[in-house]
Amino acid sequence: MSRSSQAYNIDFTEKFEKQLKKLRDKIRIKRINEKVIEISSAPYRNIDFGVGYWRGKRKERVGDDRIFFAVCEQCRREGHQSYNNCESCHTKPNNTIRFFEIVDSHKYNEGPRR
Amino acid sequence: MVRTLKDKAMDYFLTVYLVNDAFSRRNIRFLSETKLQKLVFLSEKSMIDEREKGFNFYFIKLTHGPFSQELRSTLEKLLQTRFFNDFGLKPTHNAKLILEDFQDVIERNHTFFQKITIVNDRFATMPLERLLNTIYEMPWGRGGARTIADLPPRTPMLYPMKPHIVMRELKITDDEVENLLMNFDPRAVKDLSEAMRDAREGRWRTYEQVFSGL
Repeated sequence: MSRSSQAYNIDFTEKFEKQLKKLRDKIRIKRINEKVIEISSAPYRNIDFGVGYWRGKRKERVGDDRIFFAVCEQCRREGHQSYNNCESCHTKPNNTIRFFEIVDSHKYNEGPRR
Repeated sequence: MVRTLKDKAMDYFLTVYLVNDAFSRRNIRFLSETKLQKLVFLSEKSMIDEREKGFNFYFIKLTHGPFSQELRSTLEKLLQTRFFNDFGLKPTHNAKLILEDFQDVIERNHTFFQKITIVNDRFATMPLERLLNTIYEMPWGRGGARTIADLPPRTPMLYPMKPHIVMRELKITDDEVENLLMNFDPRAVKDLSEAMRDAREGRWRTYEQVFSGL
């Protein structure tokens, strides 16, 4: 799947990359890829923020996986920089989305859903 | 009764609330694990007496009164995830944040949290020895002829209530349970902190680098 026409620039932490490669499940990887593309074309469709340690990060469901990210313009507007603390914040344009990590939430939910 | 994930999530959260309330409202400076065990026991008992399902720890009687192994494990996780300081169980900034983020849950279930504050008002500042004596002298079982001191060692005292006897249950959504459990999972918190270190130190990858070849 291509994302060449998307309006937002996206990047990922090394942790995100490692977590994705560790999944080894083609279907889960494909779904995450599709969700990343969906977010990068319409980042304000579902707005759900993480809480506690995940403050300042947006949360999206992909089956039992959760992906956490921040939209730079929203992060600045909401004053979330102190939670996200990205090194190159001042050099990044507003239309950037930064993907932080993937959480397998399967173990936090009762019963098999996968 | 096996503790469900929801039970565990609430046990973590109510424990954080209890400790924070004892420090912030009752102004204690130090909380030993023994005293925490007794405060949670008294809170859980006051909930169970009114058939309210809040705390879900198993308690048995040991040498120093009621004790819960599950509470000990919960406490270990709360220390690992840095909600309390190692010395004296003082709540950290993270504990305040999580209580702030789940203020809705507290308001929605205020009768449960009120029971904790009542227990803290009566017992949090009581010297440990007096607290232990107070607990030993409490009547236990039907008829109230026996006290806790009379119980043989390892007698089961409290355990999660069976669903058919529950009169009131904590209201919490599956999403809130998931969010709580993530915050109290040392592995998840460690993974997040690694991701945040990448962000702080500028280790970023492009879409092509991440998804190519997968």
